Amino acid sequence: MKRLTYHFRTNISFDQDVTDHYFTLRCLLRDTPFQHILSQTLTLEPETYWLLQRDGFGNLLEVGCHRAAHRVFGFTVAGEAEVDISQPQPDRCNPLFSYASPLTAVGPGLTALFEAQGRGKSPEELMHLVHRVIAYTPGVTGIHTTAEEALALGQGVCQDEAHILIALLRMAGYPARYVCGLFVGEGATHAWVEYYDQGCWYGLDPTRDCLPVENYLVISYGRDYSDCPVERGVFRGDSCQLQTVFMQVREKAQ
Amino acid sequence: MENLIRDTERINKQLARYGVKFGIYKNGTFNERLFPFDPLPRVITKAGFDLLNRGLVQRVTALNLFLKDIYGDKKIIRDGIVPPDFAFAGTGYLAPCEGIVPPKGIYSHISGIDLVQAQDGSWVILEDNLRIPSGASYPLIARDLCRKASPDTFRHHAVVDNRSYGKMLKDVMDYVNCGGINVIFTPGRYNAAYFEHSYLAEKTGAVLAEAGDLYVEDGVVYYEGSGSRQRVGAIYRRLSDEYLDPVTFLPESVIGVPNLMSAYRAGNVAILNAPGNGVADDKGIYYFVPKMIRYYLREEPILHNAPTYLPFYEEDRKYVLENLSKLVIKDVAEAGGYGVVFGRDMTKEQLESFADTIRREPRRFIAQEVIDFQDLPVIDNGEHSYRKADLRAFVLAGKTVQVWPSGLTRFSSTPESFVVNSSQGGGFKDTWVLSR
Repeated sequence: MKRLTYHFRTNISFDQDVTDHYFTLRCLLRDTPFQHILSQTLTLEPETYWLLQRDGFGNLLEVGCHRAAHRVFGFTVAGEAEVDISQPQPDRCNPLFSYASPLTAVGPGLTALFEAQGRGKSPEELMHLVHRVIAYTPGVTGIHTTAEEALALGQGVCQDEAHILIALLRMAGYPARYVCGLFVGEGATHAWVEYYDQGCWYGLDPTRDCLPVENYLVISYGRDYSDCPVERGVFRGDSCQLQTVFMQVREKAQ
Repeated sequence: MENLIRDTERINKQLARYGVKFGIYKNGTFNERLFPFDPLPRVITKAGFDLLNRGLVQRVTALNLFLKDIYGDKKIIRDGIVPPDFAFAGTGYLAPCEGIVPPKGIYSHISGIDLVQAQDGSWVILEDNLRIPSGASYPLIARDLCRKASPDTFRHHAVVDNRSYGKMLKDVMDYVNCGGINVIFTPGRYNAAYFEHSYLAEKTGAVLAEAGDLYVEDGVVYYEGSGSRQRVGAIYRRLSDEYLDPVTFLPESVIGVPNLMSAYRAGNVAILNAPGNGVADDKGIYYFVPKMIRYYLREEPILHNAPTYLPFYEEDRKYVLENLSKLVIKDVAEAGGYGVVFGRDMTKEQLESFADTIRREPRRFIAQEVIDFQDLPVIDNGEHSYRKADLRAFVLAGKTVQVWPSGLTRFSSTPESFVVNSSQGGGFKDTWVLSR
């Protein structure tokens, strides 16, 4: 068991005033069978009232609107969590995680890869396989890139590797879900995968080619990236925006 | 009846004045055109309507149960009745609706079920429309004008009054309303069905609203027209899911209401029809509706589908590829009569290349036997002629599920055409249900 403190900040700056800025965030961390959130705060800049909701996957949503003119929109999550993966935790599985989603749909490329190198392999071996076939390359894929497309490119980032692994796991008969979250250190948000086996969920990180240990924090679950956007918003105003993200997770001395 | 025929031109002129129009996209351009009215009604006997009524209530009840199941427990998938590929791989299933139970558990409040009548008089279901089926206003207004043109016709024939539609629709909105006013939410006056939106607002007493009139605050929808703001309890929206809420669906939508889904999720507003209904009405899922009826209701379907094959299943694929020239093939992703091809109209080369497409993308198509359905008489330049015609029946689900005793009868533009969708030309008729 470990205690982790986290600080996760996103800043969107506009070069012109914007108004009527409606947002739906998925930035607060949720509880999971492995992760207990001890305390957590969300600070919005400028200060704005927000409503807490849950989506169909149990993720937390923060919904609101800032009407007055502003040039910066920032949100900061800070909190402390207890993580314990010492033993598997029985949990439910939404049947949806057994079926393909638009971003993880299986095409000829994934079928060929699975038939040639994936059939009969364990989830961990499938993770190694994905890590081998995808060269980590930022900038070549986007938020709409499907698993099949990323595989054809042979390149991508954590979300692409997660999508490909989800597709392979489902082909192998394991329900699998996308995880958006944080891990110990500094940088940006991360994406990895969990698969369901005999009543419990287990993590796999194809990008770092390892099993998540007690230094990973879950923000949200979904079928693929499109179910887990950290921020969605619309506003009035003709403005260019620049987004910066900073996150820091530290182990707390016991 | 002669009066009606004599007055057709006058009725059509009045329809034009009211703005009863249809917008058509063809070859990349948008054209608005009138929807010609034919004075000879389709007549459905009392016994005929009773059967239709039972069959349609049964079908829509099962479809609503399917939607509740798909966005909830998904038992029908787990029990192997509907393959997951048909439910979740298409664009119909919307993950943001997962786990949301709409007010009173109703998903499809206004269903437009398209049917044709076979030569033996039996009805065959062609398509379910559970998103925003349009067209109820056409027979409503046409009946109104016909009554004025020829009151005697309705004195001499025992026709069930169809003016109840406004009341039925209002009752449904009131039943699911979560507190506040009823609103009909239109994309605006450039929408092809704007006439219908304003007409239904008038008939139901609901407020006609556009995007700028509605906003969400703390999970509650408000209407702010000219006066003070009013809370909104039910929205009969006439724009499709993807434009409904730019924070949840298409971000570029300027005709939606930002964060509308937060109010819906909180149970503070009813949305008619529920977002995400596309998972139950695409052409692929159609095949499974009789199975849904048996599964959820433990009843035999009263109304039948056209004989349909899914190339997705190997056995069906074999049959389809061998009999392509006599079948009608539909692309499940297309709507409005687009993506429908008849094997008999294709050359040998076209058939072969189409067969390849089916082998490559079996999930994309369904194939059906061509139904020899009844022609209905029309007046064509003063002469009697015949056209292929279908019927869109409107089924309203509120406290009870009811079929509107009327409907939209559409007919093809030429005697040769089998396609009767209003997007493809053609006209419409009134539909009379006899009271005895």
